[in-house]
Amino acid sequence: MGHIDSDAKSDMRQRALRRKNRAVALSLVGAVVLFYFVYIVRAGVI
Amino acid sequence: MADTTVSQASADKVGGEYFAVADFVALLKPRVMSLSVFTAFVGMALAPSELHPILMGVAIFCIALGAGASGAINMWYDRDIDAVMSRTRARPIPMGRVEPETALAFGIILSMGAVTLLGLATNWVAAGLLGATIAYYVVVYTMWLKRRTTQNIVIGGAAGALPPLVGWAAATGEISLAPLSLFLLIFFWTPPHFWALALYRNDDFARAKLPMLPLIKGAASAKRHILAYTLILPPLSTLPYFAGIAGTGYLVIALSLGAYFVARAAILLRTAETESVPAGGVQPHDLPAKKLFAFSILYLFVLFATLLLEPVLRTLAGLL
Repeated sequence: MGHIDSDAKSDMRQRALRRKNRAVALSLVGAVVLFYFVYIVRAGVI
Repeated sequence: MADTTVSQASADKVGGEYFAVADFVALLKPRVMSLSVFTAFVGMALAPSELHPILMGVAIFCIALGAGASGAINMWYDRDIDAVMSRTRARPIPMGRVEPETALAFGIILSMGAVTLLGLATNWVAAGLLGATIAYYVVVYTMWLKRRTTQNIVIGGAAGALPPLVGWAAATGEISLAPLSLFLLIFFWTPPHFWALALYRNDDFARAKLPMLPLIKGAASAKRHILAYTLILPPLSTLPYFAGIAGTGYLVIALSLGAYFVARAAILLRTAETESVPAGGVQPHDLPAKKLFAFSILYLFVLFATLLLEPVLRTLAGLL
């Protein structure tokens, strides 16, 4: 029983970690895109 | 429902097997952020400048991030008092859904990102003002004044009044009298708005040992202060008209709503003679304070919406 609880907890931790990594990665990509947009607008490209 | 959420949060806290984007959104205090974004947008829209629409959008995004970041740092610092107030105990840190250090890092990184991006997208006057607003809210209000003086929200209110200046500066690169009139309007609006809330949330603030004016000086004194600040608002609300950023339509609306605001504050003061601060729960005599609080939100929203829409309506009328 304790073994099953431990497995479930480990599984939850893995999923939370994946969600967190995905959120951080998306935030970084978003920030890069935003800075790039600002760069091209200020450069007069669009 | 609340109990279920609390126990779920406690279970999730164990071992760090919990992560939800929604909690990080909650750290940004979306409702407070929306007021900052709206007033900043009005400041930006009224400014005599043709900022590129994309840069305008980026500037608004930066102001939203900056406001949210200061909210996250505020939640990190105030986690002890948030845990004892019913109004704030469901926030992510007291619920154990976000570690305090994570909230602090999140707030600092967002602040730096927002200020840097605003500087690159618009100008460094606006970026400096945004940085100063965040620093003022976190250091002057949250860390210094909030737990020390009954004037906490009066002086600290300047942070909430700065976004129109940031918006104006983003569009023009400078500060003039016109956006200062918007700053003054929000600055003097803040005390009656918050003291009305403090009047009917007195127990909450008492539990957190916060020196709110109604708690320290009594309800009657707070109601007199509310009326005094409310009396300043109608003449102050005419400043945008004289600064040339509002027309007669705005003037009529501002004076009418200002008169009603004063009337509501007078009604609130009259209840002070017979009633004291309630011992707990929502009492029927909390009603004038609740009504004043609700009206104060409507007052500021209508005034700023009028400032924004009046030029549009005038242009449309000119086209017809």
